[in-house]
Amino acid sequence: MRAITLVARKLLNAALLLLAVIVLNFILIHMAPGDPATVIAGEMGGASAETMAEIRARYGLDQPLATQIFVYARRVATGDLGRSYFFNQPVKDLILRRVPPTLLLMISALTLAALVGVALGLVGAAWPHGPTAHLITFFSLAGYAAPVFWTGLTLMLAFGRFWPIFPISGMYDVVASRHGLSLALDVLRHLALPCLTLTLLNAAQFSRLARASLLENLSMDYIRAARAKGLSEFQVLCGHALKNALLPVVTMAGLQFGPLLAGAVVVETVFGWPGLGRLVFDSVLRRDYPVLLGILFFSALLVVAANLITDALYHKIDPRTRRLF
Amino acid sequence: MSEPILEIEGLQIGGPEKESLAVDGLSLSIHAGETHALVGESGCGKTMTALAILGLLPRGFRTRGGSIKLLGEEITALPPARLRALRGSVMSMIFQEPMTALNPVLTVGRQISEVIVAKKILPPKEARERAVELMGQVGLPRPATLYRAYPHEFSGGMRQRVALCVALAASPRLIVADEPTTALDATVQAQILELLREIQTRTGAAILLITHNLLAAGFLADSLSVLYVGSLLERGPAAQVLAEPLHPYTQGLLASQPLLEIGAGALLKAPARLQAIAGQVPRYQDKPPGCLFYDRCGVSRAQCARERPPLAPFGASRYAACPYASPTLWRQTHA
Repeated sequence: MRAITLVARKLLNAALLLLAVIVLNFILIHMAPGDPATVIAGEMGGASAETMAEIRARYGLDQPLATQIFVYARRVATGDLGRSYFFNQPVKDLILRRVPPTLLLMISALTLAALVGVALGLVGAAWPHGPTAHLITFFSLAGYAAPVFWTGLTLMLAFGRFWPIFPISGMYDVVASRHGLSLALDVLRHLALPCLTLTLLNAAQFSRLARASLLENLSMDYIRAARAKGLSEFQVLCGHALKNALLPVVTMAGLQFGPLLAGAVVVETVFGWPGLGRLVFDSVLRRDYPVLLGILFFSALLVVAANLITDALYHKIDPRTRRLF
Repeated sequence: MSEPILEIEGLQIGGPEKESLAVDGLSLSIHAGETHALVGESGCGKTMTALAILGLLPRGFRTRGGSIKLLGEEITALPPARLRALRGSVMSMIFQEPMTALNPVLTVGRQISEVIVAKKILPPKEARERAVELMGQVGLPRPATLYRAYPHEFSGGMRQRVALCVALAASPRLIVADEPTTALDATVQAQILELLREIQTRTGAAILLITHNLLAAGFLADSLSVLYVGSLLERGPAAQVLAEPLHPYTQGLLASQPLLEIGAGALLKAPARLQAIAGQVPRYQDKPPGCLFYDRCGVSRAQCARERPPLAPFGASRYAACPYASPTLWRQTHA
């Protein structure tokens, strides 16, 4: 019963948050200079004052802002995100087509970053004063400090020109048409560099956090107690310290989802990855407001979902947040 | 007499500062089924001694001299792997803080059974049954259900019972209990001490009881050592030491205790006023050149400041590190 109330409250919170995101985004975009009607007219190759008024009326741009927001929010609630000015297609279809590549990129990068980060953190914590630990700290800082686009371009140079083993752009081989396993391998090959770029950025944070968290846990009484049981260092580290140390790591994985999406926009642009990021970039240039709003809404949805998953995971790992009896 | 389970001879433990010793010249021995209490104020080297026995001294600290023999085997210079094999199986430890000595994210049952599995005593499934059995033996209700519970769902006393199960899991010959009742309520303290005694009777394990609580020492211990700034000031059979302390420090410790009930049932009257020992325990890095207790002692003479008195025999089985050690003064004030 308690669990159900808790979940219901979390979901209600999420819904309210999304509503706030819609209103805020709508106002922000409305405040930005530029009139969508001009853009649409421009696409049509110029228009008279009457046509402009007609366009405004057709897209509801002549209504007061509050009415526009209300109408938009009501439509979003029914799953309708409007039509793109540029493509003249439902925004939802445009987005849904581009979600899988972005999710593939983000989830693979996040998973890899967390795994590599925690592994490096383990090494750093097991031998905190050794040369390996210093090396890891150095590369962690370097990876964290380097701008995403720079890392991307460097990897492009390294693996596209000097040691060309990975394709540097797109998601599929455009020449050959592939199916099944061959297609999957092809996508993986294309995924390598963008995924690596995002991973390098994030693994640094994970490794530093995992190391700090592990070292903190290793100084705890229960670790001394575990050693007094005569467990091996591996059992002490991985069986006792790691699970405790993972709590902040899981929290950060959830928090990182938003910044990761922002990073994905840049990485997708650099590597021509056909995901949401590219669509954002193009839509900003085209002033395609419904698409922009739709993507912003969808990003918020993803981040909220990621946080809900984080909460659930946290619950799973830390027994203190649940009850047995 | 048979070979002692634990025999410590002239143990010296040094810290990061090369010249000063945290424990200096500690000797004691414990036979099967016996309890030896190591008594003293905080910071006198009790816990260091315990950690040295288990080979778990903190970074910077190490054994600088003397010997520790476990079942006749010298363990001060053992390779880490061999020492790890002895920990948990031949010797185990109970810690002061039951709140923090258990891992918060693992079930208590797993924390007990993992010792049995790690020491290859039983396979996982039987280890589980054995853990449930142990939990029942230490008086935990519904052990099969509680096996799956987490430490935060337990009270302090229950956690210390779990810690006892962990320490007992592999049937060790030596249990080092570091202030096992200090963090507990008075009534729970009595239960845990009672339980320790019961376990000892059943298993014949030797217990090294580390405590500042003379009541606990008197209840459980056969023999007793008084440690001060890392050095032994007095040693002897527990009942005798507590009834007629020889060293001024031991006398001071006793006089500062509100009430003392001794194992045999003799009750010492509480003095009209508690007498605290004036001053503070010096840090082991700042040891005075003469008697360690000199500046807090009521009977000290000028000579005490210059020469540190060695531990000298006093009668058949007692030792004290004081030339003026005598039960006379104590007899007069506590008749």
